[in-house]
Amino acid sequence: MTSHSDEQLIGALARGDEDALRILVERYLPSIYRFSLRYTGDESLAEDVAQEVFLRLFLHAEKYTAGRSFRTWLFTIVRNVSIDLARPYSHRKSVSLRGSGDEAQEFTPESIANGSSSQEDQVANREKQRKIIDSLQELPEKQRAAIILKYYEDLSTREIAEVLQKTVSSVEALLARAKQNLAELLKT
Amino acid sequence: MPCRKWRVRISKWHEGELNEEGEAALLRHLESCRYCRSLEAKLRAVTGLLKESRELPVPDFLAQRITASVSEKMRQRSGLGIAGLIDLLLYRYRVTFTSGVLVIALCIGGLAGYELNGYATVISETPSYDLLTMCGFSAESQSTTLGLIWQDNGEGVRR
Repeated sequence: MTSHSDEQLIGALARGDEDALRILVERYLPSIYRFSLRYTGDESLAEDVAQEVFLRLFLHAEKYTAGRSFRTWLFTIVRNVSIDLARPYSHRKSVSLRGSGDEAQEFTPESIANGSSSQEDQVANREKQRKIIDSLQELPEKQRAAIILKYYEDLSTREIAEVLQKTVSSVEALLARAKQNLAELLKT
Repeated sequence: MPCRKWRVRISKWHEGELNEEGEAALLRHLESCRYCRSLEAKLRAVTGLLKESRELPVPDFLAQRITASVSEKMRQRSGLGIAGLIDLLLYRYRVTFTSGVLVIALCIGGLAGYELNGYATVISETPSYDLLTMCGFSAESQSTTLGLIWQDNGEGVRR
């Protein structure tokens, strides 16, 4: 079943197939979680978003129309759920990244043992990640979503336009503006 | 911003989305515009930063938590038979269902109002004797009752 297409899996999910659910979770959880973490800036909120997204996928699986890009449909749901769940916390300005106060606890023995980078590099990398996520929270909603979809989820400009319900040229302008704003935010 | 149109072109150039002609025009502009050269450097730095900071660990427990939670929902749906189906349909079509209930309630309210208005017209146009007969009063009790009404309002008008 792992070789099944997204369309087949979503059809099976609509019929209550738990194997299809497991494969979809395996296939898309990292993207969904990372999108919502960068979007909301809060790890526990991102976990809740991911859970709610899969629940909505099950409940609305029949609404998926074959031929439409599954990733576009999925990220439309992820963005909507992120907006819904983040709304009560929208007054918060600070970002609560779990472990940000004690970086050393974030390393697993495997990550240290694989030798790909030193512990200092990983601390620096994590710090950089946190700073980027902090800065993303300062961007207007559509700019934030566009940046995440473009640079972290590899969606094309046309797909982003579909998710954000905008034209391709306005998404191009949005991305350029977002990067300029981000440059200013990261400088400070 | 003096060179707004070039901002988008710089951004597209960094993504390799600018055609040769557009690229040549941009490079010519960059040679002559200090502002855009500075902007190009900033956007290039941000693009590089975004591209090199992709990794974010996903909590190990999360996949299990989600699978367990959604599977539980699936079992609830399938295990409840017709009740589960109704529950699912009510959830999926809750907006339509709520709108339908509201429309039906409004229709019933409207009809009831129309009917009551009809009864009120009948009552106001029917002589008291006929009304009392309709309500099952005998001729004797009608005289007594109407006598009381006449006494009460003191006008001698049959109402």
